[in-house]
Amino acid sequence: MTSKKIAVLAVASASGEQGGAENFYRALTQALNDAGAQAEQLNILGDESNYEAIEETYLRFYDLDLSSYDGVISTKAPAYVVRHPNHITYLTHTIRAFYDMFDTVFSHITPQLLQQRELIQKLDTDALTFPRTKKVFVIGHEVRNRLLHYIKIDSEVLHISLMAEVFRCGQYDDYLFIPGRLHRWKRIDLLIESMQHVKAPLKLKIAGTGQHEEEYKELAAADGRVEFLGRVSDEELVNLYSNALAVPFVPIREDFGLVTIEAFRSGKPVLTCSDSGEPTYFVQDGDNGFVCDPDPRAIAEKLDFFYNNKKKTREMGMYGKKSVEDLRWENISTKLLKALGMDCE
Amino acid sequence: MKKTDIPEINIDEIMERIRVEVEKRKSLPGDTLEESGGAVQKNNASSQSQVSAVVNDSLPEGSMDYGVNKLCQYHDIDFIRNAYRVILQREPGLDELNVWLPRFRAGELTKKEILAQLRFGTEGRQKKVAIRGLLLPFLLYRSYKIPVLGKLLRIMGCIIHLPLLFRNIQGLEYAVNSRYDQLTNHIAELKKQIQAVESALPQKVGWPHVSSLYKTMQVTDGRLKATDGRLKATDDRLKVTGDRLKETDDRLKVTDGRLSYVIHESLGKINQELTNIDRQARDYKLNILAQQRRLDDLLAQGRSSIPLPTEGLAGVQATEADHILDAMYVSFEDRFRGTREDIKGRQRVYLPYVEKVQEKTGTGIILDVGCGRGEWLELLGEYGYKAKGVDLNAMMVAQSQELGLDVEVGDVFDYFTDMGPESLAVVTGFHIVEHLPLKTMLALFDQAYRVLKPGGMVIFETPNPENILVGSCNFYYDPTHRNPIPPEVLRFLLEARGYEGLEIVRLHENREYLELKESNISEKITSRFYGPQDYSVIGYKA
Repeated sequence: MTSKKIAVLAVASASGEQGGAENFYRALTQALNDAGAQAEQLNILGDESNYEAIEETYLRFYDLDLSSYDGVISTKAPAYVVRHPNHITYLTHTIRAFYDMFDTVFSHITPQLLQQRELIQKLDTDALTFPRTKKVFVIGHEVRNRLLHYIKIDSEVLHISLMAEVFRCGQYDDYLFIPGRLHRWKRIDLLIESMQHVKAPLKLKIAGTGQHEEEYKELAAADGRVEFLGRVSDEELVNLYSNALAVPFVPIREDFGLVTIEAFRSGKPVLTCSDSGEPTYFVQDGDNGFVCDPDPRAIAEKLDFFYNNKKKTREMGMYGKKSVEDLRWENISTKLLKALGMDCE
Repeated sequence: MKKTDIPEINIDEIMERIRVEVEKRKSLPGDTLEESGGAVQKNNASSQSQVSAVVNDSLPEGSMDYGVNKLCQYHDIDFIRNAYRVILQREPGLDELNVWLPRFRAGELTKKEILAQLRFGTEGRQKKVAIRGLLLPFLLYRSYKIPVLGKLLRIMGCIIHLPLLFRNIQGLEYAVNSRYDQLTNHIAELKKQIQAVESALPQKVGWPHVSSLYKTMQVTDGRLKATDGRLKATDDRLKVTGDRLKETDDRLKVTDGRLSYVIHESLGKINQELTNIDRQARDYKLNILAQQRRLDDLLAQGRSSIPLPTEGLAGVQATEADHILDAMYVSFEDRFRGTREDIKGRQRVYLPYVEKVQEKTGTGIILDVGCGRGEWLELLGEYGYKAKGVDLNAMMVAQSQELGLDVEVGDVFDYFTDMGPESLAVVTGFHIVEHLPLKTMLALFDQAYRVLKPGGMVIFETPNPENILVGSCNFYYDPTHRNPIPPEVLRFLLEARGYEGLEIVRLHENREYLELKESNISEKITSRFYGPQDYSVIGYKA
């Protein structure tokens, strides 16, 4: 069998900032190639900064001519409006401003906004329906529930894995580590506030850049224990994970959060919040981390616990490592290729 | 929330609409949809006025004073229309236009000639509109029609008019040029406006949908607002309910805490009571048994103090009669019970029990009741325990004595009678209880209990009727056996006579059982045939 050409349709961020999604595209493409397909990652500019930009992004994907490919896997919204006879989607998320974050993003809701939301949801519904999309996979239960709730599209949950198995476990030094895009939805501010209630001599190291960076820095200005590292290299990232005491990851209704998996692979327990979304499907309270209320005092208490019970912390980290052992890219690519009708012999 | 459905619009239509919007935004940077829409409308209004300026330019009707030159400013169809309006004070009919225009365009008639014919025709004469400078051309026109002279006059007229003609042509040229420029500009303007209008509107097909969609959305908006208000009200009510629930919850928690405390307290008391009652019951039981035994002893003493006339010869005779079958029983044992080594091997299992019990009783004597060939005594000796045996069978006793074992011929009850209380550590009986009637068996248990030291142990082994082959057949190999005793029964009897810590130990499964257990035959059935063939019951004195 000659290997089939597959386009992995990625949405490139307009601001060029890097987050988990970019790694996801690369890993997905790599996994398909490893499985014997001939996959290619296509980066198409996506801009969600305003409604007009969103419309243009929809149009950009709608107008793509991918007829030279045997199959197309779209990823993030709105890549799935692409027109191709053999198209499946492996969805990281829809445009959340017009779904679950509508009330959060828009403080004043006008009829025009409601109109826009309805239009976007209508577009998404049609685009994600057979035969435009042969099968919808999603990266987690959060996304699945959201699709069911808002546009009544059912999907299969296919948890993603990491691009490179480079993570390792080193020391349990006296710092907490959190990497990622500095966006409001990652709720770094909650961590910064929690640090004010932490009694243990723990540092909070934050890696990454993003649109709310300045805001966060201002908030943390008075606290010498909070450290912003900016963008770090892959090697530094692995090191930072490997010697951290624990990883506090408290986003708002996160769709996936590779941070959880990276932390577990590094043998670190993860602290997350009850409203953090998918991480709560991975973190078992008291076994491989903690799930607590999004309250600075409650979080601080658990962070202190990590410091005061290092033996238990280590055990939790090891259990975390074990709990994500089955997450492997080969399993993912096999499923996707099957859905594209390209089962490799 | 109620959703407005847009079933008539599919994704492709929406995308095309978006395409138009996006393209329009690109061509009009900085304009929002509403603003550019407004701009288009404004342009439309102004262009309409410009168009009318071109097409309908005319002098106001009703003015009665006109010069020929003024009327001649217009061209072609406009000229004729204007002339009709001024001279005949009405619009020309289509038929009339069709008469004049071809002739005018072919050059057969000049403007003045047309004006003259209109003015001095039947209708024109009735209207009597004064046109300055029209009479002369009219007369000339009439004179041209006079034969010969007319031709001369026409030539003369032409020559006289030449300079004026030149001027007119020049003026005409300017007028045409300027009008031409004006028109070109205007056409360009129009083109632009058409484009703008086009881009503002979706495809012809889409437009009605959009307007209907907009209407639907307005309606929906109104409904949404109403729903919103209602939701808010509901929300408030829910909050109140929530607060009340919380209160109730708190109260329940308090009640719950109190209840569980009360329950816990009561349970503790009940438990203690039960323990007390249990302890009392046990004391009563032991008391009753002790009294029973004392009564038995008194009775025995009473009997022995009364001389029996038959004692002596008759007793000896009876004893000797009992020994007649001894030899047969020896060979029977040899045949059915198993070899000496077999038996010793099987009995090893009890050694740990013996060892353990001696931790409590000290190195007391072990008495084996019905010791038979003395395998057990021999085994105990090998392990350094002090053991004695008693058996009714003189031949077996003789054999055992030859092996150097401490064995006596006699009835166990006689043996026990001579013994003081609490003088033995262990009493064992292998395959004897199944020989005894119930009363004797119980007497044996009681006597053993009496002579055992506190913490002492009894072991009574007997065939296990749970094994069907044993219960139905093998048990009867020994013709002196009475009836099989199920394990629970023996345990019950011992318990009834005051023994404690009772344990059933199932022993000696058939060798084939192990092999068959591996096979497919149901283990449950197999065990009935090949399972443990003997069992014992072990008990302790408190």
